[in-house]
Amino acid sequence: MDPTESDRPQVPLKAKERAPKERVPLIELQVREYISTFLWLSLLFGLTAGVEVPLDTSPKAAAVSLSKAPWVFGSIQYLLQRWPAWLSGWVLPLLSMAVLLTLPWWSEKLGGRLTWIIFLILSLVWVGLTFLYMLMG
Amino acid sequence: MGKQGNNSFMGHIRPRQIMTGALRLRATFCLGGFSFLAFLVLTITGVLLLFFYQPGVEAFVSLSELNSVLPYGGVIRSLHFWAAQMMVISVFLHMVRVVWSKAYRPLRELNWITGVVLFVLTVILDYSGYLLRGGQESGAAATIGQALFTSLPGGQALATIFFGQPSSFNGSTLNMYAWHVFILPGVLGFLQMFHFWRIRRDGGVRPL
Amino acid sequence: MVLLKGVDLLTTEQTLYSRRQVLSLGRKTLLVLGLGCLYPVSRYLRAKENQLAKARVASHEMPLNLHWQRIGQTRFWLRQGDEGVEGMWATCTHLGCEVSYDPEQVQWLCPCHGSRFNQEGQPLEGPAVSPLARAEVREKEGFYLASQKM
Repeated sequence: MDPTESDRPQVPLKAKERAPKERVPLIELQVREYISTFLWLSLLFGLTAGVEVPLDTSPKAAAVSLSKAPWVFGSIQYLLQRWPAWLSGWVLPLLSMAVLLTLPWWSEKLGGRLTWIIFLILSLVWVGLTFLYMLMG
Repeated sequence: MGKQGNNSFMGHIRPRQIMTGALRLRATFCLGGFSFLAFLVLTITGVLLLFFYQPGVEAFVSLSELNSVLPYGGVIRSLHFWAAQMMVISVFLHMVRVVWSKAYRPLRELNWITGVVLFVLTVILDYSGYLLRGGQESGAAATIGQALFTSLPGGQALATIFFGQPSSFNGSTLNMYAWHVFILPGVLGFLQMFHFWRIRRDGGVRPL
Repeated sequence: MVLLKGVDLLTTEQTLYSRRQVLSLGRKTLLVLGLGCLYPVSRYLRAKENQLAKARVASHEMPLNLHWQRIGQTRFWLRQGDEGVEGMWATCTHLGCEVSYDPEQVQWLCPCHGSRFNQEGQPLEGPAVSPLARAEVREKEGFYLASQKM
């Protein structure tokens, strides 16, 4: 758990400036930003050079027998194959989104640890479904 | 990621000094910054793709020409694709990190909500970009989306607004094109600026 | 106290030095990357610069005679010449406006600056001084295939 963010009191700017010892010039952060920018860019160029992005099947070609959804919607596809469309296409995604949006409220109500557990279960389920769909033939 | 000069615009956006804690990698893992970087790359490559991509019936033909015939067209398309996938992943991980370090809690809940909206927009943009390929698979993906909207009461109108009139390709890419290249990225860009401004105002771990 | 502050500033400046170097290296790399992208991007954007106009029309849709006739929505005009089909690329040699053939005056007229050309495309009245360009026309499988000459 990272305490720096949660435990730091929300002090107005003037009060912060009275404690100069905790502060370093922005350049320290910028150097790190540049380094991580280049790491990220090299990962991007690596993927671009290494993995070919396919085209779909031409609409004029013979009809494809199996059509895979893009992976971002894999989880919903997985649910759609099992449950009625209104449930897996609307209720579950919107419900999850509503839980996400009200997360600050839940943390007030239930405390941080329980909220973290709720969030973790929610995201693990969606990520898990995505992987399930991608790994299915 | 911006240039820092004492008199420059960027120099005024960010503070001159920062908290020591902000330097620690595990404070943010740079995930928000990576998402913004991806957005920049996507904007640049996306504008370049606009020059040759044709929505509508020509979508697949123009994309396959762009991909295989035009010099560097395949590279630009590939960069656009991979940056998009990396953006979805980094936005998601950024969200996990924010919950982990409890940065969503009140006083900063407005920025959390903005962030959730940004996440949803990013996912929808990724999906709509896939639809623009105009092939059989993306046509099927569009049909599913259309059917989901049509299942709502009054959803036929919404389906037409988002997906356009169905054609022989299971759905024209023209409407999706308007959403994907202008409306959604516009909203996303605007909300991002708001998001960044709130980080500075609310006092996040890293001052923007 | 003032002295202490000065020393403090000095040491900060010294530790900053290598940071500054890293930062300027980063900026230079970004600049080089950006400049390096210019060539691929311009190649990509110029991909179709040498592309010539082409048009196709079914010959039964366009019975030819001695007067020039336009292939719909193109700048190609066709007529029956002495040695087969002739084509004209109806672009004014002054500044590129689209000229049109007036069968009553038997002249090509430019709407932009009033240039006139005779039936064969030779300039009659300024500002254009060179003749109109001919287009290549082939007859193939019941179609006229017109293409711009280099």
